[in-house]
Amino acid sequence: MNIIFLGSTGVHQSLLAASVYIDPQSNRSCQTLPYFNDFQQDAGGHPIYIGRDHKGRRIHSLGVGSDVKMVGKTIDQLRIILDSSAEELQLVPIMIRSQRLISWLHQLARMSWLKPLSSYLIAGILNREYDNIRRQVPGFTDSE
Amino acid sequence: MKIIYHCFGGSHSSVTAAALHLGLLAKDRLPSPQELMALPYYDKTNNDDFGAIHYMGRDEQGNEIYVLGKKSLGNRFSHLLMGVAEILGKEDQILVINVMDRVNISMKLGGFTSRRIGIPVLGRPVVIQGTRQAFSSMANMVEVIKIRVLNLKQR
Repeated sequence: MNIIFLGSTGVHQSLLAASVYIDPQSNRSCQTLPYFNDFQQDAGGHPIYIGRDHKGRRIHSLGVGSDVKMVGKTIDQLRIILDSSAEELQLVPIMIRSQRLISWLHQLARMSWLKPLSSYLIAGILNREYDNIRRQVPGFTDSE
Repeated sequence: MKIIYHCFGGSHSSVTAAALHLGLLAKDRLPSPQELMALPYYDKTNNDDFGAIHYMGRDEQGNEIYVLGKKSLGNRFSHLLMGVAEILGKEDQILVINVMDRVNISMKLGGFTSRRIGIPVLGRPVVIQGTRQAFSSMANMVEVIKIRVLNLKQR
């Protein structure tokens, strides 16, 4: 069983959501997460393995560009074409208002000397969006 | 094996490549506008078709051929789909081909006018002309893919 968190990039909101899902008690500071704002990692386009949840399911983060819904549809159809059951692959789209801004700021991380600034600004945005991201993680509600 | 040809709209270049693969179009003769328009999905998709994987048929080797429109996601999309197939343990059952590098300016302009703006009477002749101009290049690409598939199967 696999769970893929989908976001416009794979190294920001979907990465944070996947980390929160694996460890709900984790620190909300995303700058310490492995792969956070890693331009090379995201540019490859491959799903990023984050870890396993308490049921042993493999958790991944995947950046799919601005149209998260469209790519979710494609992946779901691909699963069917490949004769895999819905239990084998669950998709969790994470959508936030500032995803375009994050994608733009992420471009700054191409240049190593601008990466600290890019990471700092994106971490600030994600901190503001934290509750919204948490609400989209399976098993969480507003009251938690 | 499942082979997915993808382009911006899943309506012109990927459909032409899939049709070449399936033998719906002869590789050594330029198709007429009528032959292109007779292809399933050719210049017939709408916004709801973005992201949908359409089945085109089965080739002589038993491979299933599909087409897909992925907007401007580029080659990243191939990696993304191959990565998901890998997660499912089925990466050896799929080949994902980006046809966008065979698309010329006429195909882009005509396709945009016909499908995105919704004026096929203006865009269709241009995209058909563009498809005919790119035809030999696409035929060549499909032949290379067929050889690659054979090699993959022999491993």
